[in-house]
Amino acid sequence: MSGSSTPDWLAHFQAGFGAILREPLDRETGTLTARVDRYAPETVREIRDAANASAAARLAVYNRQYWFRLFSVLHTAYPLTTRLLGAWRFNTLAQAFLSAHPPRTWTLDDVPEGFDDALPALLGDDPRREVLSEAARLDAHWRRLFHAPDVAPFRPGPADAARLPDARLIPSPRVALWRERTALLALRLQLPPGLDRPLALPSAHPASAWFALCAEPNGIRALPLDPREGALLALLARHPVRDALALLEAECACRASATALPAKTQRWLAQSVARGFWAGFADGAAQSHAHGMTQVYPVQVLRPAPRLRPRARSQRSTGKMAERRSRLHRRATDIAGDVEKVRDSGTEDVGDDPRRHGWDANQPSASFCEQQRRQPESHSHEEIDPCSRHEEIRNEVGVGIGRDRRFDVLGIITRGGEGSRNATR
Amino acid sequence: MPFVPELIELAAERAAYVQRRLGRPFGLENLSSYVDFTRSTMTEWDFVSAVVREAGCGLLLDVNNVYVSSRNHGFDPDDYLRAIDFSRVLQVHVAGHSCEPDGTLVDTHDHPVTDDVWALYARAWRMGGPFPTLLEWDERIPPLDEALAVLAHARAAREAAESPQTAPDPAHRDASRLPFSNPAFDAKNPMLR
Repeated sequence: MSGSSTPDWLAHFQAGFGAILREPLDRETGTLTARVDRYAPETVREIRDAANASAAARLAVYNRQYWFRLFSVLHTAYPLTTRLLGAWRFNTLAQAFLSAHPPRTWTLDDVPEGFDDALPALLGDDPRREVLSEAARLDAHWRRLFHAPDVAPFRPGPADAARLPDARLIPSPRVALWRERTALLALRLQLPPGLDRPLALPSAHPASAWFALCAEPNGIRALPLDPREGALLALLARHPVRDALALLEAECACRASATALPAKTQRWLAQSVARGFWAGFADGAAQSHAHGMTQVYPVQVLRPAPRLRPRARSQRSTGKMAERRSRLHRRATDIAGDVEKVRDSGTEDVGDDPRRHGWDANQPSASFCEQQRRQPESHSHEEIDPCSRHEEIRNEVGVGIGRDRRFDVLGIITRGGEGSRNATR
Repeated sequence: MPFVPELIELAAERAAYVQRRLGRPFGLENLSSYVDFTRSTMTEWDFVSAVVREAGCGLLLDVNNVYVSSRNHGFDPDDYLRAIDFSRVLQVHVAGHSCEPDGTLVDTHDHPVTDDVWALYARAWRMGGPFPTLLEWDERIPPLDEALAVLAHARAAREAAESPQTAPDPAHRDASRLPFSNPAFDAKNPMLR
């Protein structure tokens, strides 16, 4: 667009007016007060005093409304976080976030983007930091699901069966996998009215609880998942099907659980397909099978994982085996690096980034993993922590349920709902 | 921006460009104003009318904004309405506002529409109705029955008004047409050719 140019005096005034809008409000007095003394005098001089207010006081109306509107947008996007922090503390953090990340697009819908990522640093050494950050992530999942496009679910056909073992399933943007240590989801579903007084933190679960959050026409539905089912879905979102199944089996240390795992895995896989958890798959042949969503979410293909072979127990102590383990460890690290590169590339390829869809539930911070490992085993069932021991498993476990096909996983996937019904009986 | 003749073409050019790119009627809305520029040499209604006329676009007439600005700057809101070419009005907005401690009115969209605004709405209807009406309510949104009561209030305000004297051509609201385009203005602006 080219046409008449903005006169210099107008451009200068508009820049000054923009600076006044963004001038942070003073919180020292216990109320949100505009700092009119910080307004540029040359900008204030462009305004006439009114009968009931000075020019600066009238400019302050815009200044306050700018911030109140943005606070309101963030309250709407992060209702649980707002209630746990209380409106005053939340606004303090929101102002710090917005000062560092002023809105740069035409829509207010973009304003809350990134607040959940910034919150841990903003909270500093707040003893509730972990839970509050978790609450912000839950709010962020909710918001992304609310805006998720209506993507057709993946319904695999028989022709897909041969490619699926080495393919990675692509999570639907309409589903988020959620794991929590504190009962945040239940609180978010029934937030009491009021804004000002911070709510007490909800109680902790005896072990992590898993849910699938699904965007549906009537709202967002939370489906409770078996912990191992949640771990399976998280693994499938990040690894080729074959490796995901092997990793899941390797995590199952209890013999009784391992015996029941194949049947359960069949059922969970079939249910995930029937419930529309997947949007397609990506494989090493750089082809996608994302029904109805390829144009909106172009699939980015990751390098296929290296094949893992059964470890020979008789060679466990040999130097040759140690060398091989070291080599495999490096390869596994390379894969992790590739995943991180994709994540860090800043691509808009949201269809292939599990984190954008809330499928990173098995990818909490290292400190969280460490904390989980230190927890006493006070709960009744096995705690699943798929972020732990991945490299170790890749080195030490070669025989997996996905590898020797002790059950017909692919058949169940490709039959979809039929498999689900059979498995449920 | 200050209301000066120098800026009419600048604003009109941009409005016409948007309308051209959208390919459908585009309406500029009058804003609630809290500041009065020392550089202004025109009234807001003269400036807005000139921009709309030059651009060949429509107008979204917000009667709450007219009322808020009239109180903040001390003009007669009826003067504003009398300057409006209602044949260009695509839609009329009503909303609630808040009052600051110093008496400044702020267009917050979080209160019921005041009686004064309803009265202004009725006068606008009398001058240029019928027109589509939009209630703006962004925060502290009331229950549905209260919102429906506002709808009933709008209907009552219309019925209380005299019969419309100026019924705009319904084609003005046809989204497939650009009813107000100004070929003369377009011809002298390179970005609009």
